[in-house]
Amino acid sequence: MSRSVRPTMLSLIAGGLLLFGCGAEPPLDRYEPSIPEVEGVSPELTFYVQDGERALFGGFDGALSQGVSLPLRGPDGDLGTVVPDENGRFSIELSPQARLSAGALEYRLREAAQARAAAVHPPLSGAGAQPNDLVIAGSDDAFGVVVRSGDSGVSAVDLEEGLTGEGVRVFGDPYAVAVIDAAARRVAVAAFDAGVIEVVDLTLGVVERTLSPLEVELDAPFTLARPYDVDGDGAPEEQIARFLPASPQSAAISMGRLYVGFSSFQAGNRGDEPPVFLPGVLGIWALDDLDAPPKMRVLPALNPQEIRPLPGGRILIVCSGALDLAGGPHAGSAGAVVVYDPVSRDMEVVDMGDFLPGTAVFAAGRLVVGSLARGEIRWMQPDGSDVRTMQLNEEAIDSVFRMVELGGGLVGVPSYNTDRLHIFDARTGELDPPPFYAPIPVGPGRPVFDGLKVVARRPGRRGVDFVGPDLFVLTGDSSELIPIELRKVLGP
Amino acid sequence: MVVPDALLFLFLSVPTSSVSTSSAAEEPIPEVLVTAPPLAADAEADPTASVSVIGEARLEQARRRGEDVAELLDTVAGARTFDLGGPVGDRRLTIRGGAPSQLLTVVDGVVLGSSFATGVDLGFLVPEAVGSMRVVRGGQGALYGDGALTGALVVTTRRPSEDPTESLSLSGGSFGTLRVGGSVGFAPVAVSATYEQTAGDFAYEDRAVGLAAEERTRRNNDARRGGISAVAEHRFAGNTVRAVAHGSFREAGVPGLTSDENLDARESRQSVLGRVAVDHPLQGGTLSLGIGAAYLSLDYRDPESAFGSESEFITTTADAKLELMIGELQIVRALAEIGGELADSTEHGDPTRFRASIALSDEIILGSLTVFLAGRAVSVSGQRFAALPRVGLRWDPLEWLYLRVGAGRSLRTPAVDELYRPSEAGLSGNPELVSETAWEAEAAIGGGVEAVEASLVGFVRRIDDAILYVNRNAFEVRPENLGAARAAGGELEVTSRWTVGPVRLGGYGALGLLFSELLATGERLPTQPVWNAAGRADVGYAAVDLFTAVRWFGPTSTRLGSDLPENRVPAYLRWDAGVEVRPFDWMSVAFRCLNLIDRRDLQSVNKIPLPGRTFLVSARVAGGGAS
Repeated sequence: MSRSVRPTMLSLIAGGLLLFGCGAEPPLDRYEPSIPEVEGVSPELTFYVQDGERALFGGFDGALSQGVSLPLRGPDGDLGTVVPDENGRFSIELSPQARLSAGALEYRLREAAQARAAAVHPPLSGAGAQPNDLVIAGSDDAFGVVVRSGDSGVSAVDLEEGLTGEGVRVFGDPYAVAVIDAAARRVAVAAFDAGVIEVVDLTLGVVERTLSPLEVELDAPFTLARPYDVDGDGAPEEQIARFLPASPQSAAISMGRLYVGFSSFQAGNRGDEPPVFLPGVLGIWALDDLDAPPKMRVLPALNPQEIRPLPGGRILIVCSGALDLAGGPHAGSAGAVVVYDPVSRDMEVVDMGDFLPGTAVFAAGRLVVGSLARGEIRWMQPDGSDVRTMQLNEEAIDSVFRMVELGGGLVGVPSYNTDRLHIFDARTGELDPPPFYAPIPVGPGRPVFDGLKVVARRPGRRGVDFVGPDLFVLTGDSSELIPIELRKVLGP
Repeated sequence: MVVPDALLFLFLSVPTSSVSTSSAAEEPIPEVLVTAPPLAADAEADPTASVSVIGEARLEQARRRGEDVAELLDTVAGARTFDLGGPVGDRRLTIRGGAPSQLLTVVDGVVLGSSFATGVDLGFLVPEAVGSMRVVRGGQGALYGDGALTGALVVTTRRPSEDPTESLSLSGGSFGTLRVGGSVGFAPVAVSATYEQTAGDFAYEDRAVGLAAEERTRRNNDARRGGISAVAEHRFAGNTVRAVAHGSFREAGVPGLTSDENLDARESRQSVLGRVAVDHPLQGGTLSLGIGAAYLSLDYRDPESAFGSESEFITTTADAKLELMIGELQIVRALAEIGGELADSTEHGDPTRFRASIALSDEIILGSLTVFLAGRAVSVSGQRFAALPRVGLRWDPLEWLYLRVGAGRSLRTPAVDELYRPSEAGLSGNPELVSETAWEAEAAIGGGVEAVEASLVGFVRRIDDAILYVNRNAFEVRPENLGAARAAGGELEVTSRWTVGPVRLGGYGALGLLFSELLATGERLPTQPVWNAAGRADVGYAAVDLFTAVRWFGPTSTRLGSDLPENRVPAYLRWDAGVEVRPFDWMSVAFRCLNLIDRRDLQSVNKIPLPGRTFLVSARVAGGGAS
């Protein structure tokens, strides 16, 4: 018995010496504590951080409601009052003090690099083979769903433990998932190779039903990138006028409807010859009548990669254009970001040219778009005007697969090759603004990177509605689920 | 003297003595069954190296029992064969944790090459054609040159005998597997031929973390393979002329990964090799001159994606070798060789490369101490010049005990495809790639008494400019030089054989350990388990033998530094058993059951399933020396 006790005692003594004898800071708790509700304040969008010789106290869009002011008080007395600008932002430089009172909120001065590192928790678990999609759903009992293409399956994710045994086999290369009913744990899974949508009940562990697209007739013949036997009759076609949409690759739920993007990928590069895609199609099913035939809408660009619901029932669709991999990934046709209004059936189209857009969000009233093949984002007005570009890194080829809107006008931008999660301020156009100063190091980066693929956000207000990680990163190469707690950087 | 491995140049001069050796090709069939390769030093090359010899006796046993070459090699300590798909499937050998491309395969002095970094399919070799095999463990650049980074497989085909021999064997069993083979031998010619086929489809269990196991069927896994081998020897005016030729083909489905099945893809492969050599006796030695060539053709067709590829690869070699005994206690060897590689492929174009190499070695016996010194200079066009020294000592203080130490440098030049494949989706080449080199040192203790032999080997290896396949970006994997890596490990082998009254008993056990690290990341290298074990046992009475074998690997990571279940092949345990009956001297019948415990979730590498319980029946008739 003494054998097993002795090292523990020694380590305790040594640890105690380090902590108290050497004056080191005690380790941070695993999770930041919850934040009290304060009227007119969104504390999860505020920060207090060491900034060189000074300290910076600030807040992003909506941090303070209009007309609200925060009295500041440090250990040495009053430090003045902060008032928000027209966007609810504020920023004030202070002399650094370990603690800061802002109204009813108590802030701890954070050191940026330490906070960034602390924000990344150890991986919850693996994510199966070739994980392709991750969503987080629910409120108090939030959970995740991960699509595992390599395992032909979809699994529930416990936000504390990781991958669970609650899963269903879905064959045909499952690729994307949308949560139909969080409470009932029903999800729709797009099976890329099978060309169908499987409605899955995760609780019962069954595929409830299979949704198939309908054939689409085009207004004008579509010319293929190269002759290809689309209909399987043995004779290559150069043009098509009608086809059955295939390769569902993106899905979302909005206002009682299931939206699925069909890329209708036919063939990859053959030597120097280009890949073959058919026109992108949006399939729409009514969730209260899944037996009813879907509505099929032809999209103005190829290869719909991502669908997001927007406020008011509109849908944001990102079409990358044909992804041509000969000689390195590049655009084989123009990409576009499309906003679809299901009521008017109008499509507002922002032409993205050869940018190969793969993901887009609206933040601070701007459209922010990430590229599948460049370590770069573009942001612009919603109508596509006033386009600006931000380089993330020096990588010749990099991918931003799935951005996440963080609130306050901030956007999380994952870089695949560098394993870094950048924070982009869509209001100011600043990359990794204070209190971040640099990207969050989620993985090791080169030479053997994990590959940040999908960043999913837990619904609700971090620190207010829940404690613990608010972001969950799915890595494509290392197949891990990595929780990130932005509260380590933001908030009291 | 077999040509391939004596690629050495002269160094020092001290006399040779009676180092314990095993001339595998001449080994008689033992009265007592010995199921393991003898623990012998490689007398023909380096007595200080770790070598396992699979001799004629074991090969003859395999012919009778219908075992294939991969099965024989898989139980050798430090060796592992990747089974890529069940009966008549691809088999790739690895040694001491290396990749299949990091070992050299030499058949009758001809290096089997490929323009792809995939290693050699062992199915090319069939027991009917093979006379002996030596598994040389550890980097052996000085002895074998470019490619022997983690070891070498040195194969010698069956030689014509003075007495006529002939054999015919037939085996068949699960999954529609059928194999027929035969050989005839009568000086000056020996010929053997084999044909095998399988329907190939088998049931397996697809397991994934967090998901229910799924019973599935491996499809598009049929294969046909055939080969013919001929050796001719002729002596005139004191010279010996030897000509060898082998040809083989394989045509098979390519079923893909379990996660990405392919029901239509087909591949076909043809290979031919030949060599002509003349041994001219000198006073106290031999001068050998030889030329050889190998041809490999690989075609792939996937109707579903309308994709196809065609690749041809030719290697040629001309060499001159001098072997001299100086006094009684010293052997010096010198070699010079030149060669070339020609590729023509839809995958990587038609690059050519030239090779030149000179080597010398000196084996000196000083009483119970043997000193071995060797060096090789290698030049491959487009790559850095490399000097590959080796030094070794062997001490035999007692008749039943030996100690060995050795150290040397080895080299692997990137395959043509690794360099020249254009940047494209999936896999790309890397024109900036440089050869990986390794320093390896080992120490061994071993020996044996009449009934038991044992050896324990420990090694350390440092690889510089280690080549690993990593993601360049989300769309492209390519080989990169990732700096230095290191590995350490060991192998323990025990062989025993007894006769208890009329009962013959034989046993073999091997245990291997392997630790590795890529220095740049501090992470363990993928693809090989930390531990592995193998065992074989035979019990014989009169004309009946019962035999069994076990192969057991620890979990194997498939990704650098990751121990997640998702990135791991689960532990592998395969237990085989069988019975052999020899009702007449000229006839044997064997029944075997592979994977006796019916593990249906076996994978040798990630997402390549292997069959469950498999039954095979073999019958063989043989006359003359082949019985």
